[in-house]
Amino acid sequence: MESGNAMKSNRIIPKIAMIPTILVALGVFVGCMLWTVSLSFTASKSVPDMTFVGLQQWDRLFHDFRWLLAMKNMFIFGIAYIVGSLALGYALAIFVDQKVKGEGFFRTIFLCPHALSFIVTGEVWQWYLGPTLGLQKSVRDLGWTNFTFDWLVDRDFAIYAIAIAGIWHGAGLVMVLMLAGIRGIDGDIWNATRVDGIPAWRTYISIVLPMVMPSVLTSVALLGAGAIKNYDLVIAMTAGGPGTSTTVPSLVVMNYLGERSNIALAGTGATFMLIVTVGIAAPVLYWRQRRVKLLGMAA
Amino acid sequence: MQITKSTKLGLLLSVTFSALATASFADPIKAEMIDNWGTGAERAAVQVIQDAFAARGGELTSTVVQNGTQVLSTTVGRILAGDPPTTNTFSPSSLYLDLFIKDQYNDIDAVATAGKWRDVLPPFLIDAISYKGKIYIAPISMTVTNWVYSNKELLAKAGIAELPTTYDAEFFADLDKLKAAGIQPLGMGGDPTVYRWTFESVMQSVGGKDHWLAVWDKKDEAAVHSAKMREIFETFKRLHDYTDQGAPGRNWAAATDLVVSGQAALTIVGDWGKAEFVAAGKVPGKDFECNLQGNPPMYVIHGDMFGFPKSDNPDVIAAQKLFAETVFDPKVQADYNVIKSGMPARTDVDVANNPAFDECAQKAAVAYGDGAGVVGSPQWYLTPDGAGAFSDMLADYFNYPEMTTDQVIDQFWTILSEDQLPSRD
Repeated sequence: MESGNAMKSNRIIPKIAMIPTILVALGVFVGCMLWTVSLSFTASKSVPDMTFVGLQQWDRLFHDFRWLLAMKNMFIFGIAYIVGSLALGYALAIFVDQKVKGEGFFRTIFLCPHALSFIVTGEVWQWYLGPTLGLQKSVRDLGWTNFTFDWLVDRDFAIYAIAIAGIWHGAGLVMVLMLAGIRGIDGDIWNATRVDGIPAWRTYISIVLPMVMPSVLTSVALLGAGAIKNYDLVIAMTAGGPGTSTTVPSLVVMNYLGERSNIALAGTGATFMLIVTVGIAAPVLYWRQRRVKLLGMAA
Repeated sequence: MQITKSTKLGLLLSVTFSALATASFADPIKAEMIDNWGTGAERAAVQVIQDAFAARGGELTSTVVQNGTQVLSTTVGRILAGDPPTTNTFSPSSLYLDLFIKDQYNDIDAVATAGKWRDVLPPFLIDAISYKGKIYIAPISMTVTNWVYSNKELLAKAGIAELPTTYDAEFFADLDKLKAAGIQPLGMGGDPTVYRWTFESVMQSVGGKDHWLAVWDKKDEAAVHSAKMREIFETFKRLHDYTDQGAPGRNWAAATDLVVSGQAALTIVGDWGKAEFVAAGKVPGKDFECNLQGNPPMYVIHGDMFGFPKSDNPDVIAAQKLFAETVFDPKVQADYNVIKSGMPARTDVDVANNPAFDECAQKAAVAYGDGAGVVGSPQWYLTPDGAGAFSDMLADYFNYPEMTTDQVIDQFWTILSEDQLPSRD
């Protein structure tokens, strides 16, 4: 009897301790999200004004050609950033996994960019990729006077220049996650591939990569979140330019929140970004749940 | 009782303190100002206001944020949170009109009427600071974006004696001369505000006042589709050929610094650009030249003003009243504008005979005149939303070679005609 009561209170006390956290999570996260979504159906301008206007703001936003360009840029940047970071991060992880001397040193170096904020990354890469100050000028000064690398001021390529800075920043995180996955692989697998005579590079691509899929998916989720909310990088590198060619959804939202004094449109844009985030995160979570069920493995 | 030393000391101290307690020290009237004036010259100008406010028995703290947008968002955030600042900075735009409509600001009409403000302000400015007939805003400084600052040394190198004050063929011929001499003619930035004020400068000089008012005030379709408008847009786009590759993304201060340091010959910027030259120790007339574009130059106002967030607290209202009186004082306006390189808002402040105002300020004073010809900027006539769309349009037009003048005029007309600014009356 007594042990039964003790067990009950053991279960209740942690739950009670969680109540403040749950309240904060519900109030702040969920509550504020619902508030932002509700703003998108109002006529708010500079201050909230709860006059219901139906889908008018959504209609206006999706007929704005700059918003459509922003969405396109978000997807281009997102894909370039995620694929590039995965590829570079995996390559770095493979390199560090070769049991080189000073492995700890290399790991730290490769992870350093990730410790910088996007705004610092953006500023530095703007100097480096800008044609008058950076790479183009240096190579020209060395003698190759016809060398051009003006992606940053070219309206079709500026978004890729921004992706380069993003990849430099994100590869370190991917490396760390992949390395953990690779190191978690049973040594017997490596022995088996050696016995079968499979070259190392083939092993990494066809055997190891599927086995570290959870790390890949975690990376995709983390990088994807960064890609959707990307603002600092664009502001620091191009301020949305040249012209408005590198505008991204977060930039549009911030403009409407600030000097364009239209928080209803800002809420609409933010709600859309939330929908995209959920659209990426939900399948990943579902896939992992299924994996647990099917394979009985820890996700 | 025996009076020991310590008792004597104790008695002395308690008598002193009780005397102090009963002495009537007026508590200083506290005020807080939110502004975006962080550079050296700007802080010195704020100090002028703070000293004048202190002399009137007040204590002014200045909360600095990074830019004008942040002033708006910080102030609105504090108003909604129930902790409004005493005052915050404004510019003559429609940015705060929605807040006036939603009754988030106090008016200072009592102060304005008592101080006879309407007698010393230009008619347009009186409209600009009023809502429903009452004055809500205290103006301290008027600025324009119509300046061309040029590096005299580089001009001399290309054999140019004096730049014309218009954007005509002679001006572009001079820009070509600079290019031929291997000098970068135009130092220009790439953020949206730069395009907006450069376009303003071109539109004022090429179009003149009547055209300006026809387009912005009357939204006359014929004026927008006229040959003059085409000329304005084409002249604006022509400037692109004289900038360098690094222009997109550069901020205005870096662009002005190009001219200060001799890497570019001239730049188009507002009065605030002069501060960059002065900070580098350059002297107007000797190291650099300041031209107001347009024959005669118009006066399209930007400027520094203050608004007063809503409060029913009598202490706050007293502080707001004192602040409004302080910044409208002629001496404060004169001192402030000497530092900030603007024109005093009051027309009765003597600029011509004040040696502290340099030759650039004297040129501005002549253009300002008695203020009768003062007009508003595009941000005044458009909603903030529309002004943003207008900047985006200019940014695209300037940077995309394939965008034609016909396309930009159509886009401009769409923005202008669909923009619905609530009435200020």
